[in-house]
Amino acid sequence: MTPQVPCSERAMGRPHRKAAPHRSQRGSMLLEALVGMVLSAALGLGMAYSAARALSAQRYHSTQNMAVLAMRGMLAMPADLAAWCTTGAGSFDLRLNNLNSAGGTAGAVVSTQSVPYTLACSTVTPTITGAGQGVATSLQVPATLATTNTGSTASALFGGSGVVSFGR
Amino acid sequence: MVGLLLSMVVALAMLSMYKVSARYGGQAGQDAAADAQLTAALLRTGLAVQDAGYGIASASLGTQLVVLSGAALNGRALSGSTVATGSSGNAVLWAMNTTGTAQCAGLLFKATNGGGGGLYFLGPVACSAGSVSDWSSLSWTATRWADRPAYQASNTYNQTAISFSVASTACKPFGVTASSGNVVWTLASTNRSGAPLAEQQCLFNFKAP
Repeated sequence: MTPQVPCSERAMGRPHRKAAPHRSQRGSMLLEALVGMVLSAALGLGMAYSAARALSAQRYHSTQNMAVLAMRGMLAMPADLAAWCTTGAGSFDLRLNNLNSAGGTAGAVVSTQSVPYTLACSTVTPTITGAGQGVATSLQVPATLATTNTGSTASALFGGSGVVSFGR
Repeated sequence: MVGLLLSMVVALAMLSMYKVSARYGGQAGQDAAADAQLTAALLRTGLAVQDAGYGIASASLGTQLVVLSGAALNGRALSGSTVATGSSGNAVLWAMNTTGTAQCAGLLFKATNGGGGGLYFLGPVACSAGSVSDWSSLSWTATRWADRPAYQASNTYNQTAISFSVASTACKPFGVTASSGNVVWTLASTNRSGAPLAEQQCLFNFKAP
């Protein structure tokens, strides 16, 4: 809104008076607040994304730990190693709970995830030193045990193939 | 006035965003540390328990390996009651002869919240005749292997405990067919997101009959 200049002043050829400074800045605070909102919204989205990444990385890590324990248990106590080596593949179950730490019961299983794996065996002949230590025989032993669950989402989010493997 | 109001809303939103992200970030860090400690404890206990029955002829369940429930360490005296095979308890004790003299050792989980709780390694202390049957009269030493994580009211799963059990089951460690054991030792717990964890070890010093 431009200030009204009296007709008498116009007639006398006087220059127009400039608007008062605070009037020309009307709405600037609103604009600044809006820009602030946009910036903080962007910041909030970024922080939410990084928090979600951190939480799912922790979940991924703890699930990998569970897979390591399960695979170690399988290697430590195979029921029939020869048959297992012949099969060479299979799957084991990971019992998972929900991420909501505020509810639920500890140990209550929400979902069971089947993790496929492959097994490769090799035959070794151990060297036994010392007298009377028995006869060295060749043994079939697990060489590598690796999961094959390579989710593309996990791979894209965290890097790496997501495969847990034991052995050489 | 509208601008001022919006600015205040933005400032409040940023403060609440900071509060939420700091809370989740801090809790995720604590959970990760507690889970890592639990995993390390599982691996360490698995190695330690393999000493059970070593160097003792005809080691047997109940004499060289016992599980206690309600176990508590008062000073250097251990109390509790033995449980039947297959049942779980909060302490496991074993006898071994790894140094030329019979010793007894064990693991104890103390469920105390805050300071003092966690997983303890007991012994090794000398015990007569390679038997752990007189465990209540032994003078135990204790070393803490894993803390019990600090209590958080927001996390239901911080009350998770570690329990032990032994079962009489034939097993062959790592597929070695020349020897087999008949005792499987299990450590069970839950991680900070509530998922059950278990570690099993074949104790091949306890021979299959």
